[in-house]
Amino acid sequence: MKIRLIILIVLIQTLLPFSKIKADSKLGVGLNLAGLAIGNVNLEGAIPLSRHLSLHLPLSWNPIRISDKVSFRHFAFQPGVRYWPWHVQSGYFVSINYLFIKYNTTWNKLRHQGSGNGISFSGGYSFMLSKRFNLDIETGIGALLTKYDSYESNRCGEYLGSYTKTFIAPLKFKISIIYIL
Amino acid sequence: MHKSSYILLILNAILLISCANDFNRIRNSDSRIAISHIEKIRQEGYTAKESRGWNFSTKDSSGKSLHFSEAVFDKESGKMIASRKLTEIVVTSRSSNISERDGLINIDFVIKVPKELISDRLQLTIVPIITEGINYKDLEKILISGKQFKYLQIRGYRKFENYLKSIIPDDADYFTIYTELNNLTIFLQRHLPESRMLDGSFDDSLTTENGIKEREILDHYVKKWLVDRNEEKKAKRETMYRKYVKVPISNSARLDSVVPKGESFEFYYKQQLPAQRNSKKIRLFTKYSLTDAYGMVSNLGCSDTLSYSISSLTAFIDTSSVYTKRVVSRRDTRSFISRIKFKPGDYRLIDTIFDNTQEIQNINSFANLILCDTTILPEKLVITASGSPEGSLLLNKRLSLSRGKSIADYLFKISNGKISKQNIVIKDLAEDWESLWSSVCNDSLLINKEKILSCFSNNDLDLRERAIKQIKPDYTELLFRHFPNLRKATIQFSVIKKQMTKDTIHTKEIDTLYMRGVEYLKSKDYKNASKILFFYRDRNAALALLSEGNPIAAEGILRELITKKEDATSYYMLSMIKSRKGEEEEAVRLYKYSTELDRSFIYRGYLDPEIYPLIQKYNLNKELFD
Repeated sequence: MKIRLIILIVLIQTLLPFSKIKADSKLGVGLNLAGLAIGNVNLEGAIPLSRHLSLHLPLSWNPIRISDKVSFRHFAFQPGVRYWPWHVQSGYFVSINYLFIKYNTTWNKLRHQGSGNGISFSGGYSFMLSKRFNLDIETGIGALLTKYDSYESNRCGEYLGSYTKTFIAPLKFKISIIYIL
Repeated sequence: MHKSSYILLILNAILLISCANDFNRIRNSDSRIAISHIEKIRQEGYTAKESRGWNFSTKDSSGKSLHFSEAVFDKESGKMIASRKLTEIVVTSRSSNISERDGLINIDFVIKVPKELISDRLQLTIVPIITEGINYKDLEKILISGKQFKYLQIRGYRKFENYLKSIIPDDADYFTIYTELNNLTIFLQRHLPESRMLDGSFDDSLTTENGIKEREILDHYVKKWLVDRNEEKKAKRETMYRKYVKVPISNSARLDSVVPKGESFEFYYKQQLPAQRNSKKIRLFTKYSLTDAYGMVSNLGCSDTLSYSISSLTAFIDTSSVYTKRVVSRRDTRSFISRIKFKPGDYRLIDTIFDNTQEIQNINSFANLILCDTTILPEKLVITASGSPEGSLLLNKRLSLSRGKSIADYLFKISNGKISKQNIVIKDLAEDWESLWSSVCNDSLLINKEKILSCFSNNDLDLRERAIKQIKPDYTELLFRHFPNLRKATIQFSVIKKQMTKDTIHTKEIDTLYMRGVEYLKSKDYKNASKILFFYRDRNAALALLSEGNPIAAEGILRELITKKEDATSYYMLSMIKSRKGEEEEAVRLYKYSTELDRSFIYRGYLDPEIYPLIQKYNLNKELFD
């Protein structure tokens, strides 16, 4: 965990000088409404790097145990870089994202607990609603390599085994409101 | 292809086949368009009664045919003869008389369209054509449209109108229509708030933090596809007009009317035409054609021809030649202006100073021209000497008189007694202020022109001269350019022409001006004719004035003419004027009198709309038909 944090800090430190961020660059803070709808507490930082590039640092945390049979508890961090053909925070964009997720989800009779790393490609459109607000719609697909343990879903359920799997799955779906600072 | 396109295609095909059927039906029918003069039905006591005659056939016992029919008794032969009653028949005339007045001809006729030529899906076009000699002229056409044809025609226009409405007008707001205005506004607020682009003011020096100029921002948010589409629509206007409007609605048609199928149609056509020179007869026919809603035209041919004989007042033109009358006065004057020069303060005629030698030669030449002419006799010689204003008036007066006398003495000397001293008059015009006024007025180089002219209000000529003298530098200009022209002597001979007994002479030269007036009259240019002929006050003058629409002046001239000489034409023309004025009794009297003088006017009366009603009303000329 510490190593990943160090990698992230180093990555940001490396990208920032290239971005030539000027004093009046429009930093953004976003909230994913789609994630919020299923109980994910989330926040996203958007940092313009140049006219066409921006860095996005979304965090998502879901601590809620809905019932013994249903829960989507997780912590995810999905940093990515977007390319904007016209201008950052305006119009179409494509992005490449890294995903780290730690989860403990329950669905019906099984509970899976583990972590994963993945990479995804996505695209979307950013609507300029006003001087300060944007509405971003983004969707993407990617690969996730995960290691997890499976248990029976009841409390202190029986351990069923450990698995390592790779998925190709839609790893990104966002309807976000962005506030531009 | 879309399902609805198939349906449209099938419907169009059905319509085309229907139109083709109508074309064939009408083309194969015997019905034709008829034209006729306006009917003036006279009830002459004969009426055709509708009567059902009876007749039948049978066979007798031997098989022989027997015919029975209505019979009448014939008094002459004493036999019973078969009788058959015919239905009424209409006899129409193909020719008619019309009159030309004020250079215009009014024709009217009836166009009759039989019901067989009218179809719901077609338009019938009738074009009346006037022929006058080799000249053809199409009159305004008549369009008779079927209901369905009109519906399709209007639908085409509606489609085109909708197409035009879909074109964004040039004066539309550019930013509102052609740009993503909301996005553009927000983008500018975020990245280039100082821009005044939306107010129409561009500043190329303004850039965003990322170096984007105003123009680039605008280009990004312009809806290029919309601009291109609109330009394409504009360019395709003509093509779309031709696509939607197959048969345009005619602006030049006299009538464009919808007539339901199965109904015949009659149209009373009235047309005013300018009368051409020497036009005596015009012919009229119509050509007609059918048009379907897709613009296909089928010519159906022409109608019969009507003819109009034109009676014109130009028949009364007196074409006999007129010779020039010239008024020549027995007395005449011959003038010469001499610029002979004198020394200042001196009045003697010296030929050696300045260019006086030439001037004296000129005087000699002029004097010889008169004195040696054997056809004239010098009666009087008037010499008017004038001078410029410098110096006192009294002195100038005396000087100019003396100078005039010097010239008179010289002329007396060279006349060798042909003119006596008593007949020489010397006038002095000491200072010629009048000529000075004119020359100053026409001089644009004088600086104080107004000031100089204001001095002329002073009646004291010496004071006037002094006042002008003060105006510098213009006075110098006057002194050198204007004053020399004032110093002159006008030599005027009054002469009598020998062997001349009367002042007015009739020459043998044709009066070209008068003949030109007659030509104008013949070519029906009455305005120019009356301008020229008015002063001759003869029959042609009266005719020009009458034709131009000035009967009062014409009447005056005709009254003058009949007091000098009784002339049938003048009486007839007066009768026409009176008829126009509504003075019928006087008109009838004058007409009768003209026919007594010349019987040809009996027949002429039937051609003129002023006289013909009088003949009808008062039953004139009845002896012709008795």
